[in-house]
Amino acid sequence: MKADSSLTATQTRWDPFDLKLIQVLGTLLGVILVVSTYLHFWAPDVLRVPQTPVPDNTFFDMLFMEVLTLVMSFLCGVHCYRKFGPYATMLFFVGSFVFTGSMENLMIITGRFGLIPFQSYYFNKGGLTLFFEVPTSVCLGWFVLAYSSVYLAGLLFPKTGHVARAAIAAFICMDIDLWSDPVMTHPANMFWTWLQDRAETTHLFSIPLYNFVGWFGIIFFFEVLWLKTQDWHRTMGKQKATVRFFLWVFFLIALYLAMVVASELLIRAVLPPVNFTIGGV
Amino acid sequence: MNRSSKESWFDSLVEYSPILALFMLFVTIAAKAVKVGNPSIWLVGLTALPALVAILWAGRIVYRRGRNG
Repeated sequence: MKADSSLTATQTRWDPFDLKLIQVLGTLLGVILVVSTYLHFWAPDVLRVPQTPVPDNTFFDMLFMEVLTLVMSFLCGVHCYRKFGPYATMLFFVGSFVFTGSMENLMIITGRFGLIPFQSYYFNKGGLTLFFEVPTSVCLGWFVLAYSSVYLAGLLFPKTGHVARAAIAAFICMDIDLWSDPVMTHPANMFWTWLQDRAETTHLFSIPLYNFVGWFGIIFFFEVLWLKTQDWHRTMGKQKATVRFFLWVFFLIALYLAMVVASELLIRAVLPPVNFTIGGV
Repeated sequence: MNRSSKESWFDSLVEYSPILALFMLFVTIAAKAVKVGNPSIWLVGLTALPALVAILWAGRIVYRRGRNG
């Protein structure tokens, strides 16, 4: 397989460090998924899980969602492995899963418990297992979306640097969400529910405007970090690069939350609480 | 990591998987948009047209790359 012109695999085979890393990260993720799924379905009072009746949410609907995202994640994972090697694939998978999953959880849980100045949203559908309050299929979907978009950005603009490539990828994802969010949150579908009142803040296509800032930020930050980690792997070695990668993941999660809250407060201060729609959507 | 002269269907599937994933996302959104029942949702869909063009263009690049070996 031909490697990407501007970014090549930092290694092509598994080594003992990779195997140890996958064991540690896999065990941690597995424990979190089991505990979160138990809390969501069998002890919903703990995290105050809203009990909203939603259309088309049978066991088979959830199973289909879970299996479909698993298959697409597997295929994209194999693609990433062949192009960039096992280490980069592992970091991308676990990193994007934890990074995007944590950001979504922070927005949902801090909003729900009044730790940020506004309520955000929650998921109604998504699958059989959860990563805290975010369906596993959504976290897997983030991996697929983040990887596919950064690969596409590299294909379309092979001579761009890390920051420009991440920005193009983030724009592609944000652009898709301009259509996806109004469709998926419509009462006919109800995949997730926004809790903000229309009179409270500025909306675009009936979705809070800050959501689109968040979409851009979530992909942009992660892509830059992952692309930079390929450089760190080459210059400082795998162990140091891994530690630095995860320290940055946690720093960027905090930065993202601050950025989204600040952008929403700024939107409220500057823009009128109008819903910009096309034909009522 | 050299391209073999004869690729299996799985290799082809993997090669197109990032494009396929994003395209399938579009198809899923379109399928759910039908249920919305408001024709304006398709006008909103036009805002996502640049992303769709990018996906199809990337597919063309992968296809041409595959044909050229």
